[in-house]
Amino acid sequence: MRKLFLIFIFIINSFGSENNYELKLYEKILPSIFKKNLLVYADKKSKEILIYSNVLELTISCIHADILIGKDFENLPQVCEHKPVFSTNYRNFMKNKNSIGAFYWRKGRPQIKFRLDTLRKYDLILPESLMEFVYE
Amino acid sequence: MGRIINLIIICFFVTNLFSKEVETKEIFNLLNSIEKKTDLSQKTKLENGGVSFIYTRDDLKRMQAKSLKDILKSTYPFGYNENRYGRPDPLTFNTTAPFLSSMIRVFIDNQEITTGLYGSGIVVLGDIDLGFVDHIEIYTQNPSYEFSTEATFVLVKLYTKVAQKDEGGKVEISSSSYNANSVSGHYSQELDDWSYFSYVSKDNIKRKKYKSHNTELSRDKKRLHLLASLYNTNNRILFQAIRTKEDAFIGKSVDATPLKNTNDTDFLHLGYDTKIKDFSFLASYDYMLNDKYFADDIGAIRTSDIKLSSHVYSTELKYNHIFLNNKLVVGGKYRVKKSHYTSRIANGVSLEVPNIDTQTISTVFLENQYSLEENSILTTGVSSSLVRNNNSSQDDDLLMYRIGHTYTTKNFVFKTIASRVEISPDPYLINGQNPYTVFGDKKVQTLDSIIEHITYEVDQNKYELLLTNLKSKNYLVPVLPEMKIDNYDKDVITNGVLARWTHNYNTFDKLFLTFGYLKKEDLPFIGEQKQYIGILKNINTYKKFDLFNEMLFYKYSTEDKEFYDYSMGVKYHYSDDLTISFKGENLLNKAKTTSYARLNTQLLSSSILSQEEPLEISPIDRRVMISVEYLF
Repeated sequence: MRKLFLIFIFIINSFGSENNYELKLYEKILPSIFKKNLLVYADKKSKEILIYSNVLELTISCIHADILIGKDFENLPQVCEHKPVFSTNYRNFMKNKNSIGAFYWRKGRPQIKFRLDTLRKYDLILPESLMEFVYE
Repeated sequence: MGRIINLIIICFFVTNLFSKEVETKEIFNLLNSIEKKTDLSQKTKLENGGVSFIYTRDDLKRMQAKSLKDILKSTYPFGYNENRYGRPDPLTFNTTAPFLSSMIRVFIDNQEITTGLYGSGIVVLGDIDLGFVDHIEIYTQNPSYEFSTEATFVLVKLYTKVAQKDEGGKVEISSSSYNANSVSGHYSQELDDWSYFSYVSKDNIKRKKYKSHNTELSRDKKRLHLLASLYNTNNRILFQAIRTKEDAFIGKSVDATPLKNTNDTDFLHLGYDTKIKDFSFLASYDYMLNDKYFADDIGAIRTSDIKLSSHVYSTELKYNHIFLNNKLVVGGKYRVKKSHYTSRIANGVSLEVPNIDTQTISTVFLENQYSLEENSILTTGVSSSLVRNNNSSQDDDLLMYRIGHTYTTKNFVFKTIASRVEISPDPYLINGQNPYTVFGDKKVQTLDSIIEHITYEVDQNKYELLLTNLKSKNYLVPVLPEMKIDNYDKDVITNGVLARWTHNYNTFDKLFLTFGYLKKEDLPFIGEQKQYIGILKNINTYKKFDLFNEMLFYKYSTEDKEFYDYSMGVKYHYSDDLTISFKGENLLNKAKTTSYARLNTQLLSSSILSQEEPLEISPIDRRVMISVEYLF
C-alpha cells in the first residue's frame, strides 16, 4: 500500500494517471473506427496527452492528419477545414459539424459520444460495441 | 510448414490489428477510472489533516445534498443544530447567545469565509445551498494550521465546481413542503489560460411553524446567493455575495412569544490566492451587515433596532519546502476585524456605541511532516497567535500545538494525534453589542485532545475505528440569571468511540454504517451525558435511477426519547441533459430535537423566575421536495 510514501508526490501522480486513462480511451476507440494507423493533429491541451501515445502518431501540420483532436482549432488552413474532428468539450461537439464524436464532461462525469450522420459523411462505421455511446 | 504457420499468424495479426473491436464494458471501465482518478477530493484531501469525512461529487449528487446542513447533520461528533435565532450553530446551548460555534471554520476552496463578529462563516454558510459545490471535506480534531488563521477544531472545506468538469450551463428549480421553492443556475467556461465558474441561487426557504402560546414562531428565510470564481493553475479570485431576509425564530424573547423578530443580512467575500513556486499568498475581505429588529411585550428589552456591520481583512504568506524526508510549511497570517454600529436603539432610546470595535490577530505557524520510514510519518505543528482588542484588556497570546504519527501496513493505517487548541473570545462577546457579553477579562478556552484512528481496508471494504479523548477547559458558557458569558469552572471531559464501515458494491455504489458513543462529563447545565449515534446510508444506481437512503439514530442518556431521521431520494436521468429528482427528509418526523427554554411570564411579573415546559423543535423539518435540472 505504502500510502504515505505517495504523499509527497501525490498530486503529480494523480494528474498523470487521469491523462493515462484518457489516452487509453483514445487509443481504444479511434483505431477501431478508422481501422488503420492514425496521424493526428491536436490542439495544445490534447497534444499534452497524445504525445505519450504509441498508437496515435502526432503531426505538426493538419494537412496530412487523418483526424483533428481537441476543442480549439483557430486559423486552420482551408484544406483542413473539412477533416473529421474528435472534440474534447461539449461546446465544440455541438457546434462543429465535422465532429464525429467527443470526450467531454457533463454533470461532473466523463462522457463519450459519437454522431452517426457525421461518421457516415466520412465513410466511417461505428463498431457495434460503441453503438451504446451514440448521441441521440 | 513452419513458414506457412508464421504467415498465417502474420496475416491474422494484420487483419485483426485494426478490426479488433473494443468492448463496451472496457470503455465504461475506462470512463469510470477517469472519473475516479479525477475526483477532485483526491487532489485536495489533506492526508495528515486530522480525522476526515469526505463527500465526493458523486456522493453529493446522489444524496441530493441541497444544503450544507444535509451534510453537517451526520458529521461526528457535533452534528447540526440551530440556535434561538434560527441560525446554524452546531455548538449552541440554546440560550440567547447569538453564536457559539466559532471553532468550526468554513472555507470555500482555499479561502476562509469568516465574519467579523462571530469568528466563523458557519453562521452564514451553515445551511447554504450546495449547487456550487463539487465536493466537501470535513476535518475534525484540530486539523492542519496551513489553512486557518484562527483557532480551529473543525475545518469544513467546500470546493467549487470547475469548468473542466462542468463546462456549460445548468438551471435547477425545486419546490418543497410548506410552499418553499428555489431556483439556481451556474455557467462555467474554460478560456485560454483562465477558467471561470459563476453561480446564482434564489431560495424561498419556508419551514415548519411552531406555536408558543398564541405566537407563531417562524424560521422562514429568503436568500439570494451569488458566487463567481475566476482561476487558473496557480491563481484564484473568489467572489461571494449573500443577501438574506429571515424571521429570527424565538430570538431574545424570554417566554418565546416575540411580537416581531427579523434579521436581515448582507454578506460579501472577495479573495485572491496565488502560488509562486514554493510560496503561496492570500488576501481576502469579508463584510457583513446585520439589520435586526425585535419587539416583545415582556422582559427588559421591549424593542431593539440594531444595524451593525463588520469588516474582516485577512492576509497570509506561506512557504512550502520539501527537503530530505521533510515536508515543511511555515507561514504568517494577519487579520483585522472591525465592527461598526449604524443604529443601536433599545426601547426607543439610542444607546452608547461601544468603543471596542477592532480586533487584530497575528499568527505564525510551522508544520512539518517527517518521513521516518517509507510507511511512517511524524507530523508536528505549532502555531502562535497574538489576539488584541482595542480599548479592552482582553488581549490573549495563544499557543497551539499538534503532534501526530501515521503508520501504514498493507491494509492498515494507524493515526495518532495529540493536540491543543486555544480560543480567545469572539468580538461580539467583548464589544457589548448584546446582553451576552463577558464579565471583564476571560481566560483562554483550551481544548486538549488525543485521538487514535485505525483504518483497515480489504477488497471492497473499509473499516475505521476512532477513539477520542477531549478535555475542554475554561469553556465560555452563558450564565443565565445575569445574562452574561463566563468561564465554566469545571473541565468538560469527552470520551468517544466511533466505528465506521464503508462497503463499495462497485466503483460508485456504497453502503456506510456508523456507530458512535460519546460520554461527556460535567457538561454545562446537564452534568453527565451519554450519547449513542447510529448512521446507515446507502447510495446506489439502478439503470437511469440514482437511489439514496439514510437513517440517523440518536439517543441521549439525559432524555427518554430516541430520535430517528430517515431520508430517501430518487433521481431519474431522463436524458443526458434533463434530470428529475424526488427527496424526502425526516420522513418519520422523529429527527433529533433541540430544547428551547422559556420562562413563565405570569410568574415573571411577580419577580419569580420559573421555567415553563421548553419547546422541542427539530432543526430538520419533515419535508418532501421535487426538483428538475436542465443542462445546456
